[in-house]
Amino acid sequence: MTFVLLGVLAGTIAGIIPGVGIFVTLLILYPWLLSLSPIDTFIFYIALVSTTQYVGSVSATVFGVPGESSSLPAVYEGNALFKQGEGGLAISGAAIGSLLGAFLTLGLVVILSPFFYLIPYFFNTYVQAVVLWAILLVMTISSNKNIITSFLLVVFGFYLGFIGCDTVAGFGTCHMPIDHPDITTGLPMLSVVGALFVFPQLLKSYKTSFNDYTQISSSLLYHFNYFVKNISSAIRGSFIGFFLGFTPGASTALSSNAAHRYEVLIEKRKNNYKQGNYRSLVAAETANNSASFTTLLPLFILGIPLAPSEALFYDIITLKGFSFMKDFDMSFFMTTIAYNLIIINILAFLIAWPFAKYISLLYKIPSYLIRIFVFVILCYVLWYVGHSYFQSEYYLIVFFSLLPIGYFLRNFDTMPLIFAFILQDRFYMNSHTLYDLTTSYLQF
Amino acid sequence: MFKHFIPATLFVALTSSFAFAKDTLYIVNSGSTGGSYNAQLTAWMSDLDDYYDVTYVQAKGCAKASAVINKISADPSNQVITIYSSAWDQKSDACSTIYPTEDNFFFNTYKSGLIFKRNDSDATILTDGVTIGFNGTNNRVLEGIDNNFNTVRYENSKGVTLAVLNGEVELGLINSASEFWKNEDKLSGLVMLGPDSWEDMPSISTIGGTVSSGWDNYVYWGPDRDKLLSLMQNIAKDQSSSIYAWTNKNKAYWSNIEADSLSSLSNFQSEYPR
Repeated sequence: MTFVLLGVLAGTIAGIIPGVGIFVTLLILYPWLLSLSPIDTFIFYIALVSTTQYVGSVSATVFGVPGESSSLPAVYEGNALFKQGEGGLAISGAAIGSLLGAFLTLGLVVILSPFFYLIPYFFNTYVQAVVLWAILLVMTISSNKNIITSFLLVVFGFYLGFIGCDTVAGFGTCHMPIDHPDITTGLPMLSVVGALFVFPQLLKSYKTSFNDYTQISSSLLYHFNYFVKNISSAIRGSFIGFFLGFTPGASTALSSNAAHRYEVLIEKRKNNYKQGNYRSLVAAETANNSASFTTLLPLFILGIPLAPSEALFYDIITLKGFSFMKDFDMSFFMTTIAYNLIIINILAFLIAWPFAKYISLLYKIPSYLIRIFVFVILCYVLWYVGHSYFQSEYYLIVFFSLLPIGYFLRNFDTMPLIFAFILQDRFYMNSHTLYDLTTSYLQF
Repeated sequence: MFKHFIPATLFVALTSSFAFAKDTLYIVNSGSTGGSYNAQLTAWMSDLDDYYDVTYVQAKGCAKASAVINKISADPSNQVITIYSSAWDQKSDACSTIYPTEDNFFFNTYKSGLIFKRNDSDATILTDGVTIGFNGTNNRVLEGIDNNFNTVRYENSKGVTLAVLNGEVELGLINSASEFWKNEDKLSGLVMLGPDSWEDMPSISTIGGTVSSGWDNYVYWGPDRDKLLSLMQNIAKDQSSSIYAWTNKNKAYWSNIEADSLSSLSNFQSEYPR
């Protein structure tokens, strides 16, 4: 229970403060997480991820600030509702919808779980190639206004990932821009992601449209009744989130936006739509929460992380000797994840609605102080983690060397770069295998 | 009385903490976090934790492991163990630091990989144009067999096994067979890669292939080799130890921890010279 509470607390902070998402929270807590058992780390992580989704909608609604990228529909609809004086309904709708979405998703996962063992058979080299390249394409197209910019970021990410000696086959083939023993180990993921993903996030400024908190009322019955009248939107959102959640890389953002657009379409057909639409908000937030869970399934079942925060979590938990394909099964899921997810969602629900007015007080801390704090902690974590590999100077040198590039990229979405960097070896190996398979097929 | 009792207690506590202070032992995992090296080294870490202050370091691949070990062993009082794989390129400079020699060799384990197929497949090694999935440099065992193979390289033995199970390739060739044994009910072994047969599987030499044994060489740097080796030998025999459990569940896997180290080293070096 301790780690559930700590995860919920961390998720609350991560969800409400722009720039401090799941990844940064994991990074800041990295040394501490390394000291936990795999089970405790697992529980902490799912509490963090789930709570972030709930709380992100509060900051989006009250302040018009997207705590997470998936909260953009909540900014669009929720903040508009708040300005219309319906902030209480917006927050309760998002929270109840998220809770419903989590439970529906959990139910669907339990129903479908007997078939999970088939997923690795389906996920062959061809499917992996399609998934990897499709995500990269989607990211390249959608991340920045200019596709060429995204493309160049991808190329740069691949280049950074390529540096060092090949560890895939143990051949020792090296690509070294500078001949130094540390570089044989490649560029440290934490340093690169810290400089080119976290640092630009910290430099972004968000203007909050401050509102009074009195709208966050607690007349529970009224809010529940209002939600039940609009429950069909939440159910649609759950299903959209459940399935789109399997789209690695951008699942929550994609799910919430897709559910939002779909609901907007329905409302427009009924001539009911204007900005600040409750049903569209509920659909988006429900989808968001459903997807936040299903996006983890490829990681849990296949051990394939397809987002920076998942890669970091994967890194932490496998360091403890945990193997997803070996140690993750249905009994582990039911005893460790499902049971705790219920508790976590109830706690996060309470935070994101009845107690929302209290968490809003976090915004009274000046944002520059938070950013400085995050930056200092980031430097400490890099030193600490580097130290455990006997490379503390190397970790910091790489980080500080890349900071100017991070500054230069502060107005761009660097997700394509990070995605290409983290998964460079997977792309490389998959392409190699695909080439062999195609050649053998043609010869046959 | 208390004015004597408190300093005495502090003295005893301090001196005993020094007396029982454990030596630091670094264990460097030179394999992947999801692989057999990590599994056995984490088992050792758990077993040695009562005797040493164990620091576990992930350093996948020989280049990375070499770089880390160079730094640790720069201080001669540090103790460090890692595993050197026979699957690596023995000629590589990046791997040279940790290639087993008389100075650093600890003990090794010997394992035989195999070639296998799915139960419902009719493919054999001699089927013309058969597609074989392999990892590392294991495809060299096919040299000498009179057939046209289509070989497909995968990241690791898990990838190879999965490719056979999902029908992507007809046969799988792996030097670490644990993935095969996990799926024993769905897969059939055809030949062993080592010189000996196993159950009803003959050696690859019987069809003209190049025999290849897999060696996991434990290498050590530090001042107290004999003490650690003796301790590990005792732990390996203890049925309640983690490493005993790990070794026991692996088939076609033999530990030379009790054997004469020079002859074990010689066996490895003669098959995999630098």
